[in-house]
Amino acid sequence: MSALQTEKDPILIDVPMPIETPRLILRPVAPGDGAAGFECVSETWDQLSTWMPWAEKRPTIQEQEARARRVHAQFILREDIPVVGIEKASGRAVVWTGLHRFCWKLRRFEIGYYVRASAQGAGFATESTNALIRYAFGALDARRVEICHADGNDRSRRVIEKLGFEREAVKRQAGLLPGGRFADHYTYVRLGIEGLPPLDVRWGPP
Amino acid sequence: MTDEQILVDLPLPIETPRLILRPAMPGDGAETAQAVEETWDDLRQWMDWATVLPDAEECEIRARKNYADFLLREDFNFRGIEKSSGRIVVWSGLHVIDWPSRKFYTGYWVRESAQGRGYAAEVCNAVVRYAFAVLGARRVEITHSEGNEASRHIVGKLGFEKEGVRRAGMLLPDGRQVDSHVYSMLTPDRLPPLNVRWGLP
Repeated sequence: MSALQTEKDPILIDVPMPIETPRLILRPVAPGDGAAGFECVSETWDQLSTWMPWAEKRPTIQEQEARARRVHAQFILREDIPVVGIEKASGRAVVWTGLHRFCWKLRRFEIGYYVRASAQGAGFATESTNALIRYAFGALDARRVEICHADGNDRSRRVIEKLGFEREAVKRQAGLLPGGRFADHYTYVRLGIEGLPPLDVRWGPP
Repeated sequence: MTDEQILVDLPLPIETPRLILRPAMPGDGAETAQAVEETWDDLRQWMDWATVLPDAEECEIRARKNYADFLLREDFNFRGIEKSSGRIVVWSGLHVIDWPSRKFYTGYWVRESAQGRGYAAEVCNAVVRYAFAVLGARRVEITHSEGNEASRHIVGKLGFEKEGVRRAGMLLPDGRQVDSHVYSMLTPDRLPPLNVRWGLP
């Protein structure tokens, strides 16, 4: 089975995991991650409910576990690549990220992330996003990797700028935020890894 | 699928005296393709899906979809591994007919090189026990096509009760439409004794 063949069925595409960076192990979100997800969402709720379209209502631990199981099934089906970053030093889940809304035919992917409140300011968003960009181009044959932030989300904007994305557009009123607010969406792209800050990344089973 | 369904915890694997049963998983395709090929003469007589011999990639696609279905609790496909050899020898499952009413449908096939040892009965016995004890089954159904004597023999031996005949209820791969004999069990009480455990050792 060739790694990148899609003619028969994208479900056969190899998505080698985990992805390892100096401080993180990035792996697919899996059954059993509900409790950690719940902790992270709870402590980060103020920010999430400002910026994340899905953060309308605090999830329960059961809802978070159901979500972990669902998204793992989507990973197996190659419909989504939900990723959690485990800090090697502590064993804690610190960043929730992934490659989303992709098209295997066009090889375009979109990255989205948040870092739990108690692990912010340590550069985990930058480290995990840098790794996922390299992974998308290196392991998944990406042609475009997209990212966006809502108007006013300056933390997210800084990560994007640091990683050398090019801005493509400001999509007016394209973002629906929790509480029914609309915001402009700033969209960015990378067409390759040139100019990314250096990072030691490897993927696949040890 | 509801949260309630997806949150059902499933202790696995299922262990019987001679077999370990676990869900169909990514990576099972190649071995399944081999087994299908060696068993093709049987399968294409009785299995509705056995119209064109699938290759390893098609079996792998199926295995991955089966695993996703398992995660979503939409369908349960089990593979029986022979402890003594490590080979997959039985393909079985509990197919969800209706989750809220906890009705399941079961079936099985054994690869040609492992037939005649009672593996189908051992797996089916274990899977039915699992359905009642773990999945809260209220009813487990099984059918065999008219003329499939091997299957009829196992169904009878396990203590399923016959409910009726669905006339011309089964379309076989060769295009013949034959009667389908319907059986069910509402409790595991009539199953022959079997040492079964589930969950991590």
